[in-house]
Amino acid sequence: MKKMGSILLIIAMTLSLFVGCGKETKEEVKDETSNETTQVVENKLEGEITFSTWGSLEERKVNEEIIALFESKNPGTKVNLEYIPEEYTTKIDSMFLGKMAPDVIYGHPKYFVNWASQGLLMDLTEKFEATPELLDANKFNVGLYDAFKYEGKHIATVNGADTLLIHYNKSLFDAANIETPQVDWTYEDLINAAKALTIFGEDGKPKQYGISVGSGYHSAEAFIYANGGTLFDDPNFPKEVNVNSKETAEALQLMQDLIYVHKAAPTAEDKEVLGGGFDTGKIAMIIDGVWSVVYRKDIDAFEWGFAEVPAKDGQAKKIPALYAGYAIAKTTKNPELAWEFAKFMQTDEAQALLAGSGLITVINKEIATSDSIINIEGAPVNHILRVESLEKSIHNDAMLPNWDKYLTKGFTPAMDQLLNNTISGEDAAELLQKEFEKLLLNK
Amino acid sequence: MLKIKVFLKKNKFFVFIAPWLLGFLAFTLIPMVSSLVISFTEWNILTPPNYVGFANYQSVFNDPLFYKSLRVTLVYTLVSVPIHVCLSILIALLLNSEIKCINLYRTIYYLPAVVSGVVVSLLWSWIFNSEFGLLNNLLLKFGIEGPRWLSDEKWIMPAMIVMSVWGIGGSIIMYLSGLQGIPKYLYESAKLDGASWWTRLIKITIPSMSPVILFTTLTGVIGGLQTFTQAYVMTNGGPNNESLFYAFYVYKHAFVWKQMGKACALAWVLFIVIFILTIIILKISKSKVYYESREGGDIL
Repeated sequence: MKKMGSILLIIAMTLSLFVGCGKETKEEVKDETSNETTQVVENKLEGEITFSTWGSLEERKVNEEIIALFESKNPGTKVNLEYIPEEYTTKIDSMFLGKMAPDVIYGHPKYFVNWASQGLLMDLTEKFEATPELLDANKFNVGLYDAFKYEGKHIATVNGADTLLIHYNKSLFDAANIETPQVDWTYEDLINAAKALTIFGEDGKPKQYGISVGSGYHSAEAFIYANGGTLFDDPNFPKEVNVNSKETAEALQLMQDLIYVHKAAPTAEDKEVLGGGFDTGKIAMIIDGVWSVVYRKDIDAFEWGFAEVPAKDGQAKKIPALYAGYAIAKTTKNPELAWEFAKFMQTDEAQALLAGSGLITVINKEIATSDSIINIEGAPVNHILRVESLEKSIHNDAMLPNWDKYLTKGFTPAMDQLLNNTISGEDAAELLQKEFEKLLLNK
Repeated sequence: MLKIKVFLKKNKFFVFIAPWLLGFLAFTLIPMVSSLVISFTEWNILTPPNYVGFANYQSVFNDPLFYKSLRVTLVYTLVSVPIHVCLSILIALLLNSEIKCINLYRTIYYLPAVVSGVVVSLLWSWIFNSEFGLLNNLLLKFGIEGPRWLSDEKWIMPAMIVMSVWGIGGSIIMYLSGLQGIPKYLYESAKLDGASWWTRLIKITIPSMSPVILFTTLTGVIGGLQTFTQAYVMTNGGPNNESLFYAFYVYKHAFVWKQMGKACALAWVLFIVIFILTIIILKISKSKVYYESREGGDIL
């Protein structure tokens, strides 16, 4: 009896080793309840799909409202929201691997280009052509569709595009009696304003900075593009690297000078501490995306507004923008419902909900510029600039499957050295050219 | 039934280690072999792998960031491990004395080692802040202007090394138990012969503790070469890739850039590096480590 008992114990212990193993091969995959039952009946939308998205809690709320609206218009359908606030692409990748990908996937073009290159996304060209309204240039900002094409085929519907603009603290400007950023500002005007708004305490330590130049590639692009520099010949179909130019060097040099020569901007580290810097009124100007309205509209300690990053001698030439849209997984079991939902995101009602939160400058031109959207509660001064700046917008990410490599091997090290005063703007531009070319031309 | 009984009795050894053996096969050996196989393919997880021979290894040895990452990781390990060992021994010696509330001090020294790596990284990113952090404010009291620890590429590695000292609690405990195992009569007879404190340390304490020192050095080197958390949570490899720890670089290849093949190749290169370093350390220790039961270590 004792021997039987000990044998059973050994077997139980051995089996317990394998309890943790499931079908999933990666640790990141947690058990998610994303069931997709399919009952597509001809001529009537039915069934269930999963829709994945990321974002802040405000964004999540907006998405839930849109889903509720869709379900009420299409009774018998169900859309399950798969909310992934962190590690979005890793999670979606594991879901693709486990053959449980969501039906409709929210994403930036740089994500879609990756998945499309592996044949994971549905080709939507025919569906677009069957809905001519989507291609109506009077209604929609159709230029945005270019970033959502893979090999010439549509792969996503679009909710809109957000540009990167200067957010300035109007109250601080008014208090110091300085003119707020104007459309024809030059580098000199920017520098003077930033210097005037930098206040040092009695101990010589700064209490307030005029501007923060940021540390990532987003703000670098804002300065480079504004001054007429470029990264590639066309970020949506890059064939040539042409980042090394006088304009790029000037823009990068300005960023460095604002910190070290004019002492009007904090270093990358100091920015960490003083920020919440902009939101607590300690930094007068920052470069950020206009999506920030969704949470900055709750600020009531000061007035704030939008302005374009200047070129050296005047108005910005181009402004980088981030795009986002809705793609459909090829493995969806309910393609009709998935397409209807993706398309629904571009209908007037959904666009109004998206725009009403301040989160995104929607692709529907009329709604984006409508009074109720521009004048939402807590909107910044010159809110209309988020729409006007779209005319000069350029995609901030290159549509390359390994764009992240360009960032790790090229952009980030160059910016680190530039903002640490180790290399000049010219050197940084050359370094970017060298590293990007290595990757693009596979040297 | 009897046949089974006889079989089990004859192969008692394998029956007893069966659970461990299964685990080893499933979670160590088979994944290791798979990773070796994958290192000869190009695989982006979502589509089937395709064989490319030694291309991944060639790409590894032609990659300047590989050398940078290896250098960063080696410097970190080869500087931090000796510091750890010396500091741990010193503190263990202090904690071995018979003063009041010694248990309280031992707890305090061990406490940091149990805090999770992510929390530690977040905490230290604030301590290192050049404007408001604790470290630079402390240095200011001595009139030293502290550097920009986390954003200056020359100071990021010293910052990582300073931060790693945080976790020496574990080795302190091991050295303490090692110290307690040294017979007191050795010290008494040494004192009688007129040996100074320093001689007693070098000739009695250190040799008696040499097995423990070997163990902590070895595990310290192996662990140091596999550092990941600091890069992932605090620095993202920067600034200018000067904290691009090797394990983090492997992670980037595998899960961000979806190049599983190259990631496995990188991992195997690390394995070989660790293997070589381990052999070197063991060979050196052969003559230096004293085991009470036999003269000299005989691991190799």
